[in-house]
Amino acid sequence: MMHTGQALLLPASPRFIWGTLFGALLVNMALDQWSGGQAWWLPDLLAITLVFWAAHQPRRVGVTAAFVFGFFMDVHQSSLLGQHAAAYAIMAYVAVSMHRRITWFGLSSQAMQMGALFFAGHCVQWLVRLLAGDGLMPPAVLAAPVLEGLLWPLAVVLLLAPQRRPHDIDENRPL
Amino acid sequence: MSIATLERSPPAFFKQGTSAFTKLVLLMVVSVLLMVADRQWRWGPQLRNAAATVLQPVQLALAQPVYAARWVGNYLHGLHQAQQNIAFLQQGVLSAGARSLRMEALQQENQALRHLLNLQATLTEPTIAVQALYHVADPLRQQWVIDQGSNLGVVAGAAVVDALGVVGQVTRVQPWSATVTLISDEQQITPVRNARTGQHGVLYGLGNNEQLALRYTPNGSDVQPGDVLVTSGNDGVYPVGLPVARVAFVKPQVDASFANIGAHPIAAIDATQFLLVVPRATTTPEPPPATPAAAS
Repeated sequence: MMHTGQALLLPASPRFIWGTLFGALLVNMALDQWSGGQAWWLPDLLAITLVFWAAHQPRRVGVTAAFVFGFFMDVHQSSLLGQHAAAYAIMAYVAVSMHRRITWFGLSSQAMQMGALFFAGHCVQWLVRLLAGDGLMPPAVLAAPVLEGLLWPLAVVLLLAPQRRPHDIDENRPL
Repeated sequence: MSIATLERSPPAFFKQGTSAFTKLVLLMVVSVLLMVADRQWRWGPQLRNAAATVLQPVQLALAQPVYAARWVGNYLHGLHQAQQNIAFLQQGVLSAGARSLRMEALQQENQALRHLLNLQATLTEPTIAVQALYHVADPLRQQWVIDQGSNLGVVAGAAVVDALGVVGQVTRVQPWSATVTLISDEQQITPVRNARTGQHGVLYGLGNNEQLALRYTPNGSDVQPGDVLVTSGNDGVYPVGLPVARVAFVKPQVDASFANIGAHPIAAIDATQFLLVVPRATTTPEPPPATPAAAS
């Protein structure tokens, strides 16, 4: 069911979906390298993109895709194998299960809900690290989920933009 | 507008595939298995190696802008800096040359003495020149990824040095890359010896690049600020006598039997691009033969 005022969207192109996911993986890797690996606050763009597609295209991008991307993040960051994979899979699962509800909210309340989801995803990773013997994280890590929540509206605007393009406009019978 | 261009096509009623929840449960089991395998079983690191081989060219490509920025920075730094560097290096070459001349004589003398005393000759292992690629993306870890791995014979446990002293230790090896844990990592412990007094100790990383801690040294020990700590080689991993750190302060503690001793690393551990991997000492000393005197 669609709520009043919701725009009809073009179908999402699979090429665009996977392109943005791989792009986000690359940007994540690049930011990690360029920041010298010491930035606690760095938002996880891949997590945002995965959650976005899991919430908007749950039949194309789901838990399994999130797990595989998480695995590659684990290899890249030299973290314990399965740490990102588990966190991304859980986030994707929550996103898939809330996909009918989330579009009913405005961008700001979406961002707040997603901020909570990103926080939960980070919590999974902090818990894994605690269990693996790395100890507790400093409070500075809390900046990352906040930034990710703030980036959510931007992600919605950018990633939905191709679906909002006008298509074959009929000159004689404009909609 | 045709109906096919609409985003919301009706979902299949019956063939929905595995539910997301079932998949999630399965994948959670898989990720726990992966975590255990990474720590305990052999196939965990093998799986990581396979994935790392795929990622390696991408990482290398992404590191290029960093190199380019560094290069441009060096280029713009100008002639003056280059001349200074040359003068510094020439001085270094001269003094190193003089030292190496003496070293050769000493080595011959040492060899002869060892021969006389029937001691096993210490092997000089070939070193591997590597470049630091990038810092591991984890503020809790002081680790670098280097651009050579098992392809050139880098092995886990090998010491990594720069021109001044020990930088760290190779802790994970992949086909074309390896992870080096710096001596400043909180989980890195380096067995050292005080070069002045010969006293042994263990040097702990504290998670920052400025300071290390020499722990478990009794309050009254002869340790002074300025003392150089070198590798002791007791672990059978590091070669003997590589400079590691210089003692910065010694504070006796009244409420504990061990002094609080801080040291600064000698190597530029987080700034050097070119490093040398010194493979671990393969020769372990044989136990001395039982002498009749000792038996009786």
